[in-house]
Amino acid sequence: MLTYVVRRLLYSVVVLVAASFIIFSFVTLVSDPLAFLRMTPNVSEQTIKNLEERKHLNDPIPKRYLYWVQDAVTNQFGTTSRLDRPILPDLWRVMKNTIQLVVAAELLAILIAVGIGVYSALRQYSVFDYSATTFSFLGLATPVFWLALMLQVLVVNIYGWTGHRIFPISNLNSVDPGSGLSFWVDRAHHLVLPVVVLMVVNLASYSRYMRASMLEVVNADYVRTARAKGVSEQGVMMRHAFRNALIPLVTVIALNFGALFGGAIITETVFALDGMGLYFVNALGVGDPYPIMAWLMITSTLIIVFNLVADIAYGLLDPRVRYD
Amino acid sequence: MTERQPHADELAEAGTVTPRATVQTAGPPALAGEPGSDLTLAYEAGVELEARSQWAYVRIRFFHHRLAVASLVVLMLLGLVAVFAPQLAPHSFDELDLDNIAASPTLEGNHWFGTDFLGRDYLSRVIYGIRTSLWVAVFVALLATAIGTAIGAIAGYYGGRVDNLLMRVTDLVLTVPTLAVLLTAAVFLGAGDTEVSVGPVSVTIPQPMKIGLILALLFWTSFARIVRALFLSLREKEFVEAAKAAGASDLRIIVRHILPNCVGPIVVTMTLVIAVAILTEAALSFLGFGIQPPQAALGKLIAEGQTEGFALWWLVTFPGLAIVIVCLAINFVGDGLRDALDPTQRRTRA
Repeated sequence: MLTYVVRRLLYSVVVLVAASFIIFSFVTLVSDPLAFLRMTPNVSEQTIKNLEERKHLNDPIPKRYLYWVQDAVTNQFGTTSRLDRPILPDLWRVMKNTIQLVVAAELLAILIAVGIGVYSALRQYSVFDYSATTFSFLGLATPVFWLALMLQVLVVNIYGWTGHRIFPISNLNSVDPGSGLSFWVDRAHHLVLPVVVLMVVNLASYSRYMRASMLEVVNADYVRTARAKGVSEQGVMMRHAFRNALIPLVTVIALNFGALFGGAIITETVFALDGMGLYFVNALGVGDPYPIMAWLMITSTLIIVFNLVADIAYGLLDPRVRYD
Repeated sequence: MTERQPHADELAEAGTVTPRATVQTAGPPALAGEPGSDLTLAYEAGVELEARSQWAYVRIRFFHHRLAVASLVVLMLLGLVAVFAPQLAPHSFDELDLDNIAASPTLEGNHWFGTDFLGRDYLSRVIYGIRTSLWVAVFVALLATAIGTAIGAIAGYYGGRVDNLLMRVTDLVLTVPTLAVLLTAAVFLGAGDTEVSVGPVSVTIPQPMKIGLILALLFWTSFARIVRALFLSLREKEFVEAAKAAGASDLRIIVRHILPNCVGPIVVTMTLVIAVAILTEAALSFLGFGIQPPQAALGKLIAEGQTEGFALWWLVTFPGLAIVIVCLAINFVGDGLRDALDPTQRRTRA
């Protein structure tokens, strides 16, 4: 087990280094971090030359990559090239906000999906089952950003008809949110629509998986054995079927982690939330390679860690899995 | 594909010219001996035997899936609309109707989906948007299938070190946050058409194709994994051994013997990838890093609807509905194909 984890970690480091080198060469090949300064009339040739010198912009790419690695390790990913802002403090700030959004959406999605999946499986081909299936097909066919916009359109038009603003449609907080409890109430109020949007997308696929895995378990031999030895129907379902049906969901959820960041990018852009997604889109808009690299490194690391956690959890939950 | 026995009438006619026995030298032995016997006639005129191929079963099973057939019809109609957009759209996608600015959906001037602040007809723009989206999606699916199948086939067939290396590359693509990398690639490859010149040849890559290329470079992994898994099990089968014994080359075994057995899962994965490609392309265009105006893309249309204010609800609603309908139809067709291509499902009544 330990050797497995160590080997996976070592391998992950190799993957990260390879990925970072590919992305770095690609991004630096086609972009110029000083493009903005070059277009500004009152910046002298000399200043630009000095900056090029300082950021090693004229060196070959492998060398620039090593400089970047040095900067990333010793100097916390360095600063942005446009305003010379330190990157990491900004990233931590937006990450805290994104975590609130993502965790809330993910927890709700899992809870509701487990409920829907189990009930659909136990009442297979019932009206509920068919509605749940239809809903998840719709969910998988709906673009995230469109769902977000439709909710905004709805809220804005309700405001137009009734004068009631049921939910805020942008930002994390009001202008004056107060402090303590009122701050968090205000924050929760602002997060309702984004959380719903981010949740619906995952709900569709999670509930499908949960239904399929529950159906498989319900017909398993050990469930029949449990019934045969006289365990009550509730006991069979909760102790024997349900707990085993949850296991495959662990993998699905962990592998979905990368997609969650994609969802966050879109949701935060539409709702103007000061999170990682919006930070990334803004960095892309400016075309600055350094914050983009930092962002990609942090999210890739998180994804790798989550995949590893999922693999280990899978082994702990399912004793048949052996690591070698 | 259905192999039908020659009909009795045809044979009877042929029989008047030449004795059957000489015609059907390789025919059913029991019948060949006695031309014109009762047994022969009953067999030929009465029970018509059909030798159904595997594909005939697939077709029959698919056509029993009503939702999938309906979705296929919808898709084919939308495909026709996309192909013949210039002829079918009531207006051009960039035509300005200044008498009807920001009109809500109306029959007047054929603005069924309304117009935007520039007086552009949104029905026409949605039609052109579907054209762009479908074009990109089909391009992505074909390219990703080609790349993924080739890599998966090589990895699965040869195994060992080649397999290990190729699968590690696949893992690498799976570890990156997909949308973020796509966005990065789209931004840094730049907007607009790109001219690529290799020596004397210079090719202009139009922007939708560029977006398609970027998407395909990330989407091939699902094909590679599935094809590899299939090859791993199929290469141990007897028919592969037989082909090897007959002296077939590796390429021939891969292409002629193993690959045809993988068509089902590949086609199903293709439908899934087409749907995901449409959604992803829409997201890229919506965020402003995909297909650029004046070309109409569904995601871009929605983004324009957003900037022009929520009071014009039709600008956001209709392009989005188009995406939902296309993706829903593709998913249903994929579902029907999955059921139809599964040979263990033999509950056909036809």
